[in-house]
Amino acid sequence: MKLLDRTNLYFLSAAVLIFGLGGLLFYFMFKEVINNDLSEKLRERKDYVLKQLEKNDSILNYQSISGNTVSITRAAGKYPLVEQCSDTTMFDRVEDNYKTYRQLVFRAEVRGQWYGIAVRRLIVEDTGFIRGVVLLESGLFLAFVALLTLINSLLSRRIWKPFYRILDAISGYKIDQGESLQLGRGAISEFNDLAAAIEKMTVKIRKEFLIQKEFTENASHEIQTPLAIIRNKMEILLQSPDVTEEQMLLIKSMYSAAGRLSKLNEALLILSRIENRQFHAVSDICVNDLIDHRLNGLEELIQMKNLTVEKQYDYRLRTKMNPYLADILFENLIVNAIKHNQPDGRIRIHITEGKISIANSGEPPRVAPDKLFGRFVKDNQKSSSLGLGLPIVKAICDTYSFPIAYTYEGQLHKMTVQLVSEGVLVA
Amino acid sequence: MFGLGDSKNWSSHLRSGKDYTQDQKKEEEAMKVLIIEDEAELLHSSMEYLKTEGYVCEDATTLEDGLRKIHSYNYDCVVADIGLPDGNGLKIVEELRTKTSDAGVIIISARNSLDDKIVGLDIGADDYLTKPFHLSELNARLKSILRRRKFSGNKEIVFSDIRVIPDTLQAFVKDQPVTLTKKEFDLLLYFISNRDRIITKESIAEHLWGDYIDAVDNFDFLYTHICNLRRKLMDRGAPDYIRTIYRVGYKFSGNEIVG
Repeated sequence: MKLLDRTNLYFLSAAVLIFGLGGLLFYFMFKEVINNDLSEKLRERKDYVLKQLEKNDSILNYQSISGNTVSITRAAGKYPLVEQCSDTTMFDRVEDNYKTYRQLVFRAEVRGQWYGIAVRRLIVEDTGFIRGVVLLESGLFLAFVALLTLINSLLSRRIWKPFYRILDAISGYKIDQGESLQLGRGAISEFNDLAAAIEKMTVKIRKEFLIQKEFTENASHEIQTPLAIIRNKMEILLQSPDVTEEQMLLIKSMYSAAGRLSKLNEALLILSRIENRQFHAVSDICVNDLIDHRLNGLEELIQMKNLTVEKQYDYRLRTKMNPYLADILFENLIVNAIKHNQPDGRIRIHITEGKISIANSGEPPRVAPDKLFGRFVKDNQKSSSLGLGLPIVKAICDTYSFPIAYTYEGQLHKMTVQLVSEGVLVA
Repeated sequence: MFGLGDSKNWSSHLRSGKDYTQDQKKEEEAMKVLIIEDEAELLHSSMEYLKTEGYVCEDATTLEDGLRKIHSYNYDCVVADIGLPDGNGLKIVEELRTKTSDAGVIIISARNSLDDKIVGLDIGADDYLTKPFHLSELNARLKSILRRRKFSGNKEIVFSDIRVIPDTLQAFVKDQPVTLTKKEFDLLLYFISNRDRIITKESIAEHLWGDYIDAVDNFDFLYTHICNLRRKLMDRGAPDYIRTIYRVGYKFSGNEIVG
């Protein structure tokens, strides 16, 4: 949710509350005022009626033409001794419907005669009154919302401009490339503070990154050489004529361990270089050709396990990637499909629009699919594999924002990579 | 200062075809190899391993030293590390090629520098090795280059009663042809190149399958190839030259005939 929408939501909630309460208050206040006024008027009328009765009885004739507003009767029995104010509904002969009146009912003794008197006034009906209030309130509310929207759009266009400029600059910034981040300054001090803080932070991160990058590369280089020395010396030691069979086994174990360590170091270095986005060069890659080339190179290993390769290319899939990374990506996927296959198994490669899936037959997975891309995760702990193949695949996919998914169905382990690409239907 | 004539002299020593027999080792004694590597220990290992092959090995630890040496002497093969402290080892390749020397060049670099490999082979290096490498691999590559460069390709390799012609992929035992697959042939050649040495399964597997070796979990398949090679050679009447060293590797040797 956008910041403006969020603040609008709060403003609108507050407005609904205020307008709602305001409406209620409005209603009761006006009702009170009108009632008071009405009572006042009725009392005036009562005084007038009594005054007329003091003079003569002519007022008694008046009630026939006054509609429902005055009724006087000599049969005062059912009229209260103390005056009473109440609402009543009466039929209006003129308008031919029922209307609500406020009435003042009382008993009075005039010139020795008791009269029962009711004076009435037509009152505004509640429904009509409420409708008026609601209409007014809604009008005001709509005006408020319109104004709020207008102000906000102006705000977002004017005041938030530097914010979006900073955001653009940050999202386009690559820590491992080019110069340090320059965000510029504007009229609003909060955004200037933000820009300054981000610049300071990126300078620091960049410095750390460069140090670490240098360290990773140096460390790997430095580790590689002693390992190579160890391995070479072991190889020479193995040739020495005085070595016994047991010693030979020991030397071989050390030799193999050094070799493994060296491969591990190499894989970790690649992984960190990928994660540090150090492969920039991009070229146009044809996935179909690359896969065919890789399959060709791995032909012998495929034959060794007597695997059947099924290819279905619906598209000529082209994508823009670093050629070296593309090579590692597809090699690792195919090698995986060979390695984790069973003898006489099959490999199924399917290229569709923007997508490639590489599937291989095999036992159901022993590793939870979501952990499959973790480092040093192995299906079989005794396996000699390094457990870095899939993390490298994942890191490459992440670099290019290619979604990668693993599924196991129909006894096939399937890796699907969605490539951002231009596919061309194979004619 | 040696001129180009030296190497021509050496070539004239060489016999080709059936003349060439047991004194192969003696011939190679004359081979001069220059190793340019800044890491002293690695340099020593390579030199020690290659010296037992009978090569005359010289060393250089800097690019400058290396350049001076290739200008002053003639080598049959130069092994140059690309990452030298005072410059890029590819300069050695350039110099050798402008000098129209017929020396073979093997460049060595850290892995993952695909560009180095492409550039190196492009400007005339004969082969490319990535660090870390097996010494037996370096030895085999070196021999292969020396063979190609020095013997104009018509060389046969003879080991006891086995005769191998690398260019035509032909092998003979006691002059009878043996039909070998490409892998078995490469295996035999690798064995002969590293004869009398213990070679590890890893190094054989990596030699035969290159980088793709990571795709397999064990070396069982290697065992199959070795068994087949052994059977084919012995079927033609050769003794069992391949000695299995339990859990370590193999040794191809004429001195310790078991069968």
